Amino acid sequence: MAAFVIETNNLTKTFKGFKPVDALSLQVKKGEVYGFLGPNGAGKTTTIRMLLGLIRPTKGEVRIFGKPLERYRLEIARKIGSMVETPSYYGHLTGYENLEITRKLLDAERKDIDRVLEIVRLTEWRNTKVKTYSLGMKQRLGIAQALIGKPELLILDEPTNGLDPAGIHEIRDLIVTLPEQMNMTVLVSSHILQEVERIADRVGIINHGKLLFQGELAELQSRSQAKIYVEADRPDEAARLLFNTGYRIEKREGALYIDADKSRAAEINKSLILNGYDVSHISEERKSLEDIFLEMTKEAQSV
Amino acid sequence: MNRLLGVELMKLRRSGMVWIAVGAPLFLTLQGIANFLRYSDTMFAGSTRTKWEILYEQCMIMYPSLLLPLVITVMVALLARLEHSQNGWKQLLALPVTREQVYKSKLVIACLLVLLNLGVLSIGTLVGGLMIGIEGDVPYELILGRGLLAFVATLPVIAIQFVLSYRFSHVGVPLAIGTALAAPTLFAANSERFWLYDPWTYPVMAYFGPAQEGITRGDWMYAIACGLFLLIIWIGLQEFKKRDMV
Repeated sequence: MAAFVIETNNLTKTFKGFKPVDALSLQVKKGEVYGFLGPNGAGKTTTIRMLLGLIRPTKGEVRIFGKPLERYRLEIARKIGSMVETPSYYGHLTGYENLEITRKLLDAERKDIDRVLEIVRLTEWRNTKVKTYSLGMKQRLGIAQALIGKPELLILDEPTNGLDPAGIHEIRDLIVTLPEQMNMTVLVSSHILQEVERIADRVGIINHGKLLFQGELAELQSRSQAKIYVEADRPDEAARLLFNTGYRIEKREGALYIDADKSRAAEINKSLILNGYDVSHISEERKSLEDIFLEMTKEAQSV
Repeated sequence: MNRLLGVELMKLRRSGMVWIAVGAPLFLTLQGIANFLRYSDTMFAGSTRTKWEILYEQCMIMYPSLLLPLVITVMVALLARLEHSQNGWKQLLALPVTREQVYKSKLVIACLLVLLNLGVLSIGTLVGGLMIGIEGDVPYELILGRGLLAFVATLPVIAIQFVLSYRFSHVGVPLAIGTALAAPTLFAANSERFWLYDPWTYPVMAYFGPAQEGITRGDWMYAIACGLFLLIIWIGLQEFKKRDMV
C-alpha cells in the first residue's frame, strides 16, 4: 500500500511565460482531510486540474494511489470523485438524469443515485430541470455527482462557494464524516482559512504557485511568536526604557508590542511602574491562524 | 465507448436538436408536395420528366444548397454547446473515459443527426409521393440512393463544423464561419471547374449531379469527401487530446 494517496513531485505548469504552479510537491495521506489553502489565483485550481488529468503538467509528476497519473489515468479516475470550481451540469436535464450520466460512465449501481441525492438533500428536486436550480442546489448536485460510485479519493474545489451559511455547515459536516464512514481521503480547497480550519487534518498553503507550508495547523500556530501588548503613558520613553533593558519592541498606534511570552509580563510591568510609567493595559497577544495565513500569503506577494 | 454513446444520446433529450434534424426536412418535403399538387396541372403539365422526378426536384431543390449546410452548422454547434455552456468538459473528462472515446462518440452522434436529417428528407418525399398517389414506378435509387450518397457528400462539412465547434467555446465562431462558407454554394455549384474545390457544393452534386457511368468527377468527389473527413477529424482529434481543459 502506498504511503500517500496523492503525491506530486516538482509539479509545474507554465502558461505563455507565467507559472500558475511552480515546483509544487504535495503529499496527501490516506484517510485524511487535506485542506488546500491559498488566496484566489494562487494556483489551486490549476493544481487540481492537473491532479485530474485535465491539464498536462509542463514539468514534474503526479502520483495517485501510488501510480503515475499519466500512465494509469483511467484506472485512477475510477476511484476519484471530483468537483472543480463551478459545478458542471446539463441544464436541460433533470438532477436525476445528470447523475445518471455520471453513474453510467462510472458503471456504478443505480441505487447509488438515490443515496447521493439523499446525502445532499436533493431527493425532492430529482425530477426538476437543473437550469431552474439555485446556485446552492447546483453546487450540491455537483457534490452528489462527486460522491457517486463511492470513490476512495474525493477532490473538491471550493465546495462551499455560493452556499448559504446552513449549506456551508452541512457540507462541512459531510466532509468530516466521509473519511470515517466511507473510508475516503478528501482534498478540499478553499481561499478561506476558517472553512478548512475545523475539518482539515493537515493543510497545504500555496501562493503564486509555490507551496509555503504543509502540515498540521497546530504546527503552523506554534510557528508564530507570542507578543506582550502594553498600553502605557509616554509610550516613546517607555519603549526606550524597555529597549535599553534588552527587549525587542514594535510601536503601533501608541501601543507597544514586545517580543516575549507571558512569563515576562510581570517583569515588564514592574520595571515600567518602578520607573514612573502608568500601565493601563498589559496582555499576551497570539496571532490567530487567520493572521498567520494572511501574513504568509502577503509576504510572498511582496517578494 | 457504448456507455458513452448511451450517455450522449441521453443528453439529446429535450435539447431540441432532434426537432431541428426532423423539422427542417419535413417542412421542405411538405412544401415540395404542396407545390407539386398546386402546379401539376399547369407548370409541370407536358414536362418530359416523370412525375416522381418532378416531385423529387420540388422537395429537394432548396435543401442541399441552402438549408442543409446551415442545419448541420447549427446542429453540430448545439451539440458542442452542451459541453461548452456549463463547462461540462472538466466533469466529463475527469471521469474514467479517454478523450479519444469522448471525441469519437460525439462525432458518431453528429453523423447520426445528419443521417436522420437526410433520411427524413428522402423518406418524407417517398411517403408523400405514395400518399398523393403518384403513378409510375417509384425511382428508389433516385429518392433513397441519392440521399445516402448525399450523406457521404456532407462528410467534409460535418468534419469542418465539428472541429470548429469543439475547438471554440464561443458558439458564434462555428456559426459565423459555417454560414459564410455556405453562402456561395449555389454560385460555386454552377461553376464547371471549381466546384470540386468547395466541399459545400458536394451535397448539391449528390442530389442533382448527372448520373454517369464510369469514373467521373462525381466519383472523385466521394473519394475526396471521405479523405477530407478523415484528415480534418484526425487533426481535430490531435488538438483535442492535447488541449488543457482550463
